Amino acid sequence: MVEGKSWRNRMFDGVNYVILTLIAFLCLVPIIHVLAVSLSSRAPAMGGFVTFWPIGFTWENYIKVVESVAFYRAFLVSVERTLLGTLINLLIIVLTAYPFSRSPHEFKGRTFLLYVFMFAMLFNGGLIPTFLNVRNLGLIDTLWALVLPGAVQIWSIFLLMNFFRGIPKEIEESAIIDGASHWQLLYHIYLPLSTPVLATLCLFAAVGHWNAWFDGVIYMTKMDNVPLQTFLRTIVIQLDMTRMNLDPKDLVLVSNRSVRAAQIFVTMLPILVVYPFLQRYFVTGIRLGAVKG
Amino acid sequence: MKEPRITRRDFIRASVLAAAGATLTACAGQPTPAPTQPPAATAKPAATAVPTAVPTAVPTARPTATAVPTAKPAPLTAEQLMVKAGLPLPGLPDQGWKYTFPDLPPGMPMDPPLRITTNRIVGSDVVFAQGDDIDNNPFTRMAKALFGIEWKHKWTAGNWDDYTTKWNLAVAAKDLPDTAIYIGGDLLVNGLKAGLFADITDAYENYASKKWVKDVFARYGDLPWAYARVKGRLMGWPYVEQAAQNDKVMWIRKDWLDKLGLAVPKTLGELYEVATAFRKNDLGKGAKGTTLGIAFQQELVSWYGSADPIIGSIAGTLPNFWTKNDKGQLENGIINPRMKDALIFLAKWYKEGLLPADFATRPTGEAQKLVAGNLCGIHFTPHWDAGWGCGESKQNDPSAEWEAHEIPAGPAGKKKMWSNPFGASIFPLRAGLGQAYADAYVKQCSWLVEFFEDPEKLPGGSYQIKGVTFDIVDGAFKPIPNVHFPKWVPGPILGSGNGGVDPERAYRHMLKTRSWKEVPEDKRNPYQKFVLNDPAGNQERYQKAFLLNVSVSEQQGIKNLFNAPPTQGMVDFGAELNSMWAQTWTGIVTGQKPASAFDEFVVNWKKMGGDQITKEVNDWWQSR
Repeated sequence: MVEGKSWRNRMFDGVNYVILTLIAFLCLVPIIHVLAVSLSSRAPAMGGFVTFWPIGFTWENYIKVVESVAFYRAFLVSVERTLLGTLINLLIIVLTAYPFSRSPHEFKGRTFLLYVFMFAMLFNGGLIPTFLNVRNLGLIDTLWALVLPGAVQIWSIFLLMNFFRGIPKEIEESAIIDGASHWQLLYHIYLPLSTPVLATLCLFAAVGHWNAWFDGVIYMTKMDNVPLQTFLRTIVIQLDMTRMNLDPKDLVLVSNRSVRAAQIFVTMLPILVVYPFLQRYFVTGIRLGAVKG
Repeated sequence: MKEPRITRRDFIRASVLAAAGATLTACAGQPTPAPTQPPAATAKPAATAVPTAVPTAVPTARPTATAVPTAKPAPLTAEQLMVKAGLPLPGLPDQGWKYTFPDLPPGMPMDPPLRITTNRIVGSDVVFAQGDDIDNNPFTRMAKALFGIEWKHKWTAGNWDDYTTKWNLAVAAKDLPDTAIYIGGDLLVNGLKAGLFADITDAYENYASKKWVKDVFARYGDLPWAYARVKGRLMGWPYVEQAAQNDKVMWIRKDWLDKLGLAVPKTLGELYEVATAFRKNDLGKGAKGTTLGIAFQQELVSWYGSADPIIGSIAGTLPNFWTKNDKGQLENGIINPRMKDALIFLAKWYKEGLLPADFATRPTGEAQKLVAGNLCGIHFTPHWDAGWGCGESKQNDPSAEWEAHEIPAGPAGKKKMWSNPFGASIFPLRAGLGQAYADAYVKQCSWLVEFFEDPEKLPGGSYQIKGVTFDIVDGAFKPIPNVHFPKWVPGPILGSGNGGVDPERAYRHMLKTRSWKEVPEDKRNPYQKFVLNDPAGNQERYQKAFLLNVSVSEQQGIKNLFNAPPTQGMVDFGAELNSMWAQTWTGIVTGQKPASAFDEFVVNWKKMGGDQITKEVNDWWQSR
């Protein structure tokens, strides 16, 4: 039906491409600006001269970031929590979604448990009780405080559960005839068929962990233990002289826009790097669905 | 953790010896906390009598203690204690750069040490030397050696919002640190209501230095204790900034004035002419035709590119400043009829492009970009901008010559905001701690004040340790960047870097360092050489602006007479009234509203809660 495209259709496509390219560019603009500022020397950055091309090109800001022990430490905490947290999240999601995808007939009490999960998804304990609970469990100042309170991602469990239920029963039955146990079913049938959704959930979990800052604020008593996003709040937050007088000598230090830009860019980097690799699975997923359909 | 073990052993030895001493002599040995008789004196000779613990630096104390147990040896001085604890002395004593430690407060150092927990904000400005951290650094080691206080940070936060969150959680968990920093606003009002804070009145009366604390506070009347005093009792230590810290000077480009053959403007009329000339000749470094009259931002009265000198000089009062009106009552400057003239004045400037077109959306900190980016030749900003906006302006344009001058005069004379050095937050202690904590806290504060605010004791107003905050390279002083001693100190004195008692402390230190110029060059010590070395002239520019600011502060400053937590009316109506005011003034200045909108605003302001607030403020004024 390629010939069937009228000029109107093609026109429509063309306009679409232009608009979407523009929107994509709009998303890129702030990143390019931050990159340009981070590669500029201090004075032009402070003067607001830098737009999309660095002025007075220098690596100095990145060297300062890499040399900063505090930044490095926070970066490490973030990497640790993202790896460990994503692993725990996915493990729990998969192990919970599978039994929930069984029929109530197979899994007694499924409906009741589902409601319990649903309830926990809609209502949470509130900030102070949650904090007290974490504190009484002795998790304060440990990596576990960043990982365990959000370990059970109910929304993701429901998503995967529904995906599992969409997989044709026939495949499962064939495996059962071959003598597969539940573990084998999960490992050999369900997981390989759900890579696209798993990749998505993995990305959600990882980005969620990477971007989280509030738990770092409330559960960590030392700045040495906070993740990167919490640490960044010490430098990105706007200068506010109405609440406290800074020592004038510090203004020069606190307001260094080019170093801040470098820190922000380094923070963006891991997700920017990880994204294309996971995106591959999205594409595969779509193709998989299309063939089956 | 070697330290506690040593302490315990010391303590046991101390008690044994004290007991022995008590049996031998009837007079000594009772650990009574009389201010004149240091209770730790009984423990000290014991500690010095342990040969292994005594370095050679205290030769006098030992023989006395061992030979004649009945005679009381002189307690060690602060300096001796530092040496005994193996801590480096500040400066370079052998090169004539000496610090004089004040006498220690009675009963200090405490033995066993008292552990005090605290909290604080740790921004990127807090940098530690290699191997140090927030609970173990030159200050905490010094506090342990000199006061017998072990500082421990219960928690730290990265910024104010996070600090508030953590404080509220700590209140809910009933797990407050022993002392806290900067409790103001809601935190203060709620904390007082819930009885979270200890009464430190007795500790203050007994142990605050008369000369360095009480007499200084007395000079300022009600102001120092405006927030900490409740029903005559002191519920915390006030936070005191520098005098004139946020008073504005007129920064002006001398090179631009010279280029156009203009003189420094003395009146608002002349200011207008100069600003217009700068704009017409497009002297700025930005794109063509972008030169502005002055730097400006979204809040009228703020800390950078502020309009308070203009408004003050026209209206004689400032928005949200409570000043006396003709009837002798307090009135908010927001409704002063002359405020209308000020807005009309600014509207004219805006219309002619002398104010940035986007000022209404420009945060205060972003006004600095206009200066650093050389888009304007005049701005009203405190003296400290010498090294910030003005300094960066010079980096972007080497011909930039900023000079600080007195603000121009208007119909009301030369009037600007007086920055109140006594902040609206206090440093409280947790209720139920016990008197020992309050005493120790006050003693430390008092001692630090005496040390850090006396130019004779602390040269240059700066505590420098070799190898930590500075190095000597080829015989010259070289600072280690970003490492500052005051940043490590918990509490209201020094604190995050500039707290104290006497608002004029920095001024005194500056006068002292300026007097070093009279020392012949070959007689100067490395630090003096470093301080006086100012090739770019930044420091001279800063100091001149500061001296100017201090000299005119009292005479030109408009004081806000209302210094108390917000009244009920302010809590109920304040936000709405302020947003109404913001809309009115930006509307008038940008020309979207006629000047008559101001009269309408005044009527509405009174009706919508303003009258009630005025009454409350005047009631407070009467009841003081």
